[in-house]
Amino acid sequence: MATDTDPAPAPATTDVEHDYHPEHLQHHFVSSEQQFDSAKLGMWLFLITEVLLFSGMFVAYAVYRQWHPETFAAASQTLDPVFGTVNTLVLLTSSLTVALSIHYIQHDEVKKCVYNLLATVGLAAVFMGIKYVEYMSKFEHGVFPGGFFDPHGAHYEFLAQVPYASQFFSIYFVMTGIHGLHVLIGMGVIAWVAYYAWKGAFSSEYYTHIELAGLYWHLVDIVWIFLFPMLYLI
Amino acid sequence: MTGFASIFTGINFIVTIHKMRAPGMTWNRLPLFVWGLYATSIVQVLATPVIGITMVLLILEQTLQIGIFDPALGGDPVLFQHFFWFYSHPAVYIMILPAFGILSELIATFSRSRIFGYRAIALSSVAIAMLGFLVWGHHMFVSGQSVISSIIFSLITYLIGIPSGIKIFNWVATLYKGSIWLQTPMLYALSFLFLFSIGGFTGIMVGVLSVDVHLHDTYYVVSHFHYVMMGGSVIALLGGMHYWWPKITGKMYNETLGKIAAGLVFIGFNLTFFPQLVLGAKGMPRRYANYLERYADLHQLSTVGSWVLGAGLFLILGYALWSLAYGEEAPQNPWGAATLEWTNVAAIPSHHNFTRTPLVTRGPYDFHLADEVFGGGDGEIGGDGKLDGKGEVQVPDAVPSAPAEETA
Repeated sequence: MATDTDPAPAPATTDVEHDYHPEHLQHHFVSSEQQFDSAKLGMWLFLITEVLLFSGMFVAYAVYRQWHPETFAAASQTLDPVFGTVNTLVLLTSSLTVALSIHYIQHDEVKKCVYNLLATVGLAAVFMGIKYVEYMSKFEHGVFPGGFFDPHGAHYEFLAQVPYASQFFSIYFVMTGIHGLHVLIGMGVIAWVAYYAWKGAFSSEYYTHIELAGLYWHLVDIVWIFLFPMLYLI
Repeated sequence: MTGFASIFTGINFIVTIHKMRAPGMTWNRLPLFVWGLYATSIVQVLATPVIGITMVLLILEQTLQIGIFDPALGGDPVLFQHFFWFYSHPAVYIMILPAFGILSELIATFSRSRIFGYRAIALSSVAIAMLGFLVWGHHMFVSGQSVISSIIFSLITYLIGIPSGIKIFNWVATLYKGSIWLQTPMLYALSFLFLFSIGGFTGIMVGVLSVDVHLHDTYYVVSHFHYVMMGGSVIALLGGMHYWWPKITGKMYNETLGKIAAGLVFIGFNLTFFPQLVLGAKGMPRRYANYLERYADLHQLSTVGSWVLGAGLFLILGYALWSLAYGEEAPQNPWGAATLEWTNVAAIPSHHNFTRTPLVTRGPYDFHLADEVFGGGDGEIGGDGKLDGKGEVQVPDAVPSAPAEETA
């Protein structure tokens, strides 16, 4: 909040054209710092809304876990914790790479920054690949959300006997599905940022987009950190 | 997704207020309308995502039968009520908080006095925004939620009365010994004080657990809602529209017609909705097209009231359109207000609002300081309403723009 109240140090002329004016600085901001701080505060607020978006689903999870604890215990047995653990490691590593990309752009090492951004996208793709395998192994055995729930096959047959098992899988697919959607959006955004970084749009002076994409990516990561134990482990 | 626009509007306001205030514009010098919008934005940002996910779950329930809310699928309809009201109760604060902000501007400007209890008014907006998140359960006293939660929700609902009362008392205290100028916006402001007080008191009454069982889903609730939302928000909105009409359109509206319309709206509103309070208390349920004989008189009174109200509102629409086409050109500051949009901006704001970024050296309602600049105090400022030679003092010299050495 450095820009809170202090008047700008150099009360220059009104004639903006004759001022030094960096290309990235939009006309309604006084300084690059103010522009960066504003963008960052806005992103943090957006992340709060994301947390609240997921909180609705977490509440639904809590309510139905409280109502049918045996169902949740039995149904979560069919989720493979190995897939979950690998995906957690993949996502945590991708958070590291995106943090590194910000570190490198702060030191003007554009190439390393781009490589780390691409690594993030790659790791996200691995995450989605594993999720795809998981989803398919469920769908093959009729384990669909809600009304289409029709479990069959050796590992899943017993679910037909478990009351409200379809509800567990509804919650599982909705939560991981909306999280997966966020991963896909993140991949798109980071790829887009990487493209512009490659074209030389960012430097240690101006890397707002990378910073914000990184913040978003950490949120996606944190949501998964909660989803993983809640769905796979307990 | 639902409400993205609402969320981004909120984020935009919060960031702008935090990061982009003019030099010298400290938190304690923000116009109270800005404080009102700040509190509104907090509610928008925090409440809207919840209705967003509720809608998503509802759509998924319709398409995939996921069984979150529908009891036939193992879901819980009360959970839906919780989600719905977690958004929809704060949503009424989204509607009323800007109205509070408008009212502070009107009261201060048209009584020519510094607002009483600036910080109390500013912070009570934020307090209402915060407390507003903790009272959604008072819509659900008869939904089957536990008694304990009903008691807690009822208690917190009473607490909302405190910051609301703080505001009302501060506005009344601002009027005290002020130089009151009864222009149309001020008539709306005074109407607001009266109508919103009724709305607030009836709100406390439906917040009482035992009373609510009787009043739930009756016309009493309909009337309470309209006293707050229409007697509060819409009246303040009308006052604000008249107040800023010259700034928005550059034209003046017809003051005489404005006063007549304000009177019609006030009388019509009370004729429409006060009978409904009585009807509800007598047991008339809402959402029924028909009613028993014994409710007939009050229903008809309410209907006649709605005609008066409608006449007032159409009159406003009429002279507003007339003003757009043939209205007198507005002076820069017809009300002698002390906030920046009147003192430092031309009659019709330029593209960037301020030709030179102002340096704020006083509070928004320091009329004694502002009066040194454009004289008066009775509201009428020198003849054509333009700033005189001394007015140049008002435009500060220091104009911050991108400081070269910092961004180089």
